[in-house]
Amino acid sequence: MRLFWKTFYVSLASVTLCTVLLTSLITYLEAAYSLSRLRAQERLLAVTVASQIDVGYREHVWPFEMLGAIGDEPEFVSWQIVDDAGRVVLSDRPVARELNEELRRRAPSPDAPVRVRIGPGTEFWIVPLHVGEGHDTWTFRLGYRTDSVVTQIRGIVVTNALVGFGLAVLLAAASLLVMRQLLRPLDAVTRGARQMAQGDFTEALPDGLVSAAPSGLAAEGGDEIAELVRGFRVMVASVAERDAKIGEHLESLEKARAELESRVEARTSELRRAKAAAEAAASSLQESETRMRGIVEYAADAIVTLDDRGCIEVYNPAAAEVFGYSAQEAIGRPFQSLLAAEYVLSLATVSIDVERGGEHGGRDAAIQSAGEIRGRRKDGTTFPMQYSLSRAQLDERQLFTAIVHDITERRRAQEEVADLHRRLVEASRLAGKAEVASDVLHNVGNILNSVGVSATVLSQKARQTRCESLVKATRLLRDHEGDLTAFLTEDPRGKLLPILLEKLAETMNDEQRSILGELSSLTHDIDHIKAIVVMQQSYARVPVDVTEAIALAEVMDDALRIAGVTSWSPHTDTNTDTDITVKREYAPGVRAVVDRHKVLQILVNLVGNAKQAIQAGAARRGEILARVCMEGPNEVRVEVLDDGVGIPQENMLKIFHFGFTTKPNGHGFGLHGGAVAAKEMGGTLSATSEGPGRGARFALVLPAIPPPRASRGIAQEHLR
Amino acid sequence: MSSRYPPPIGDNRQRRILVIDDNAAIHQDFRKILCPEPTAPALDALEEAVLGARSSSMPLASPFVVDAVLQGQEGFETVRRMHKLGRPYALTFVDMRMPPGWDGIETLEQIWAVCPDIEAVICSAYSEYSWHEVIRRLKRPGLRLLGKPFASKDVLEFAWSLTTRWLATHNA
Repeated sequence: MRLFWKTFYVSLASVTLCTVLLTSLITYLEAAYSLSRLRAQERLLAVTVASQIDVGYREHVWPFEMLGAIGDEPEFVSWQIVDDAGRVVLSDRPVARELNEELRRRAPSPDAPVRVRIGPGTEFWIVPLHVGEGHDTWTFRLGYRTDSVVTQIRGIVVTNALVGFGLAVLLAAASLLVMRQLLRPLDAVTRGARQMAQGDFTEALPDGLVSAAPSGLAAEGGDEIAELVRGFRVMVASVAERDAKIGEHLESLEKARAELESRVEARTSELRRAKAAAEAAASSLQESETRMRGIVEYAADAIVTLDDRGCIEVYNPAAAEVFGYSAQEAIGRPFQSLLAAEYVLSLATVSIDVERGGEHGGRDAAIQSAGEIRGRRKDGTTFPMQYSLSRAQLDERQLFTAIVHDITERRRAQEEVADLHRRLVEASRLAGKAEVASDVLHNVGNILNSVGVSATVLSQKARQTRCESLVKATRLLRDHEGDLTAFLTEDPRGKLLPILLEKLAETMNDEQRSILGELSSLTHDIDHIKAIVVMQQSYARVPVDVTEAIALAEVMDDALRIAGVTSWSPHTDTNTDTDITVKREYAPGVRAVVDRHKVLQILVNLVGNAKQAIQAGAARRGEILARVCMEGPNEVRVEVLDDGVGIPQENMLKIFHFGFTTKPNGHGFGLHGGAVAAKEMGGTLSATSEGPGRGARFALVLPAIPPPRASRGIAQEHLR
Repeated sequence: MSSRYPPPIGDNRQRRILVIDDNAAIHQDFRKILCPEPTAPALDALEEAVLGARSSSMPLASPFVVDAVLQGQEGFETVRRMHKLGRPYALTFVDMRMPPGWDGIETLEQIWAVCPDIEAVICSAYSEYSWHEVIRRLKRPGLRLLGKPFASKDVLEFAWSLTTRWLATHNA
């Protein structure tokens, strides 16, 4: 429909424009033609009058009649005869000066008729006159109106325009009417279809359209559009009807659904409540089970559970790694087969015991035990392991859980540490010796070098000596014994012989001096070596001691740590790697002026002995008591007691002898050295024991202030 | 002794040797071995004129020039200075243990850093390093080792063979 309006406006505009253009053209042509005709007429008149005036001037007959007649012309305005100075000689009426000036300025002295336009609608023809004395500068002017022509033309134009416009309006109205009738039903159908497409059926019924349509077109209408509209109406009606029916169905369905839904919801909430209750019950159980399973599955330690016959029920991956059996192989197998031969699993006492130990009757009450035993791998090898075994009562049956940790690596590390420590001690001891040895070697080596060189030089000098020449000279003299005077005075060789002898004496003198010098340096070197040896011997004989006032409790603590019965950490007292308990009884403030290292060495030895005495026992566990106290006003007493294997009476005196030992790897230096050192410090080292298996007590008694000593030996600086 | 000297091999160039040892007595030892006092040549001529030729040949003037310093650092400076002066050492005898300064290995490492072709003999009575350790650290299979106390003939052998080797590479 909008397209219609567009075409309509465009056609209307173009018709109007054409009309206006055409009218204007016609008007213009008409006006031009009329004007030119008027001008020609007026020119003819003016020229005619002018020629009459020329003739009249020459013959002195003024054509007044004619001049008067001009005034009757319909377009006439005025006429003038003007002389050469521009003055009006004769005119039909008074002439305004401005007009006269204007005309004169525009056409000063024409030699042919000239047309001049003055203002809107008035023109003059100016024609030259041939009057006067010899010169023809006079002119005749004829004024006439042109506006009448213009007015006439304007009338024609207006008429034309009005007629054109009217015609256009008429045409537009007619076409508008026709197109409305043609297109409106179509538009309605389109709108209806659009509404239907949007799902609006009630509004889409085109009753209004049909009623609004010209009568005869919709009801019984003849053309295709009307038919289309009718068909459309029928279709819309049926669609609407169906829609209504569907709507009804939907409504009933909706109702049924709502009912069902409410029922389902009621049921669901019932179920949900029931399920929540069930879940709450189950989840805690499952969670703990999952957690337990996770712990067992991913534990770094081997975890094995056993039934009441000692057979494996649960076997985690870490266990598979430790024992070498896969889970399939292990489950159902008796746990006993995972132990080294000498160990026996005893479920009654919840323990694993050494077979020969035999007695585990006293531990019935235990529900958990732990310790270090040896396990057996699938390939038959045994390894040290730490285990803990516990029992749990499940309903009517018993469940045992064994947690096993392979301590092979730890053992190896411990052994390595111990070995390293031993080697370190050994190395440091050797280093002390080596330091002495290297000094001696360096010094002695250098001097021996000089000795060797001196010897070489001496032998060389001896070989180069001039003795041989002296012998030869002497032989020469003897050969000439008879004629010695002649030989010495006349023979050329004989004459040189005294000089040679003199030189030889000098040279041998020098040689002797040089050899003596070399010998004295050799002696000096040998003396030097002797001095070094003496110094070394005195150093070895006289021990260096450095005494200081020391707190004996501290030294005792150091000794316990070095001997490995207490931990180096200040927070734990007993070393967990051994089964030895250490007790301390320290009287406060016990100090002595002694060589700290000597005391330490003695105490380390005593503690080490105590430790070994305990470990040599069957129980392999025991207690060491370390005691520091005053012994009278001037002496201090340091004791180490143990409950180990003890000392048989017959050995009580031998233990301090050099080289006596009861240990398989012992060298028998420890106690001997300790006793010697104690004596050096002015104290004593003594031992008591109540017999085998009843422990031992070692006591170091030292003076609080050392006794005065003889002066010290050679200072060690001499050595270097 | 002179009989062990090989015949002169065309060049009479000096064989410069530096001894680095913290013991001045050792310096003397090296000098005694390498630079024996020459016998008086005037007397030799006289003896020949009067008594005929000697049974043993005369010892030659020593081709060795021996300098000696007491510390490794000093030795390193000396080697560098002489190298710059165009009178390089052919051989150096370095003691292993020279307190308080550099030890023999460090000294040789420093020397070889500025003067890599110098021949070297390490000598010591006692060493904190085993010989294997010394060779492993210095990475010079040509390095010679001389134990103290040393025999004169060993010193002479080293001096002759190593300086000759050095001269051979420096003639070429």
